[in-house]
Amino acid sequence: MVAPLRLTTASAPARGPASIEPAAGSHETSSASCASRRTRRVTSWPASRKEGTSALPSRPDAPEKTIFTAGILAAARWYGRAMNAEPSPSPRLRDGARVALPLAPGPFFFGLSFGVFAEAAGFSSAAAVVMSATSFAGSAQFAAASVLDAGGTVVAAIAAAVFLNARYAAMSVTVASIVPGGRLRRFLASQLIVDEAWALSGRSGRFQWPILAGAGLLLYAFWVTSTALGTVVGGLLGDPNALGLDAAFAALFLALAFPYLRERSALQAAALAATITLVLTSVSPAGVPIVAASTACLLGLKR
Amino acid sequence: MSDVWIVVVAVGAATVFLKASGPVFLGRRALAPRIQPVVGLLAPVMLAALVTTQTFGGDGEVTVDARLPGVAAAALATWRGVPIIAAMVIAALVTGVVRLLA
Repeated sequence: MVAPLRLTTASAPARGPASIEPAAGSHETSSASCASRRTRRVTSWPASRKEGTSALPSRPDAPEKTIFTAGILAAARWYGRAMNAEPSPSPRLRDGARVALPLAPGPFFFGLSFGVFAEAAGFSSAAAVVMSATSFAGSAQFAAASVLDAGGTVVAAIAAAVFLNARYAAMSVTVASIVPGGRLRRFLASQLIVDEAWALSGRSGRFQWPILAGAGLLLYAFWVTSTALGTVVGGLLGDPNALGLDAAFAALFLALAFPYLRERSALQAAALAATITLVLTSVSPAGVPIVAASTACLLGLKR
Repeated sequence: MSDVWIVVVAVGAATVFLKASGPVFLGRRALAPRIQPVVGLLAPVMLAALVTTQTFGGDGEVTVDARLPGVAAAALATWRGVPIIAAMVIAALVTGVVRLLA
């Protein structure tokens, strides 16, 4: 039998015995000795006696509606805190997921469009999803797919993607000391390194592993599922960059770079890196400029 | 194996290797004192390179388009202390509107 929907919350006392039912009968009844005339003006109800009479509700109806409302409110509060979250000195995985959540629409639409694009470039759905699951690096995947689509060779497609992903070697060096666990766990955990998660994890001034892992897991889930979705829905979607998503990610990296730039040596190195990237963009294959720009950190040797 | 699968497997394997290189091969060994400032500069350097390619990158050439005003507006907003998410929205809005008008 379905209980009628009641807007009640099941009450639960903080503590108390499982039942106070007397040995016989279903109600607590006054015994003859207690039923005498009341002789005192003041009644007392000491805590010790009160404790004995509180009980768990025997068969409460589940409050169907209130749980749903509470869920929405909790989600709203959680998201609200994410928007204003200050870096915590000892974050947890879910703090990482929380700071990455506002960014999730980006990878979602990017993944969706990769699914669409890969399908058009001759990838099977399985190939597109496997690539997202193993490479987890949007630009490299697009580069490889577009080389194949344009009739390029297998070697050219692989080289383009590997150049684009070479920056991950540099990023993984910056976080090498904070990845926890034994060799195998570190190997698996390092696969969560992706631009946005890596950049977010360093926003407090030093890299924090739980932020990187939490953000990486969330973005990974969005990336892989949206790729799968993209291969299914096909060309229903326009170009996500028409909305200015590409500029939004430039703004993200810029905002994350800002705190570093207060330091003179970092500002110089960043300016050199930007210059190297700009100069090489028109003369070298995609991906090479970023890798070459990473040599600007050698400025740290002088002093 | 088709060309597509060769690319998928090769790129996947290379990426896995690249991402694991720091944590697995370098481990948690402390860096030499002389190298520490170098690694410390890697973050701002990589971020600067990412900003540059994301703003000016195109089909193998430097491209100045609607992204530039968007990123410039976001830079100004960030400098004035606006939260990161707001800066991203500003960049997307400005770029989107400029593209719409162009």
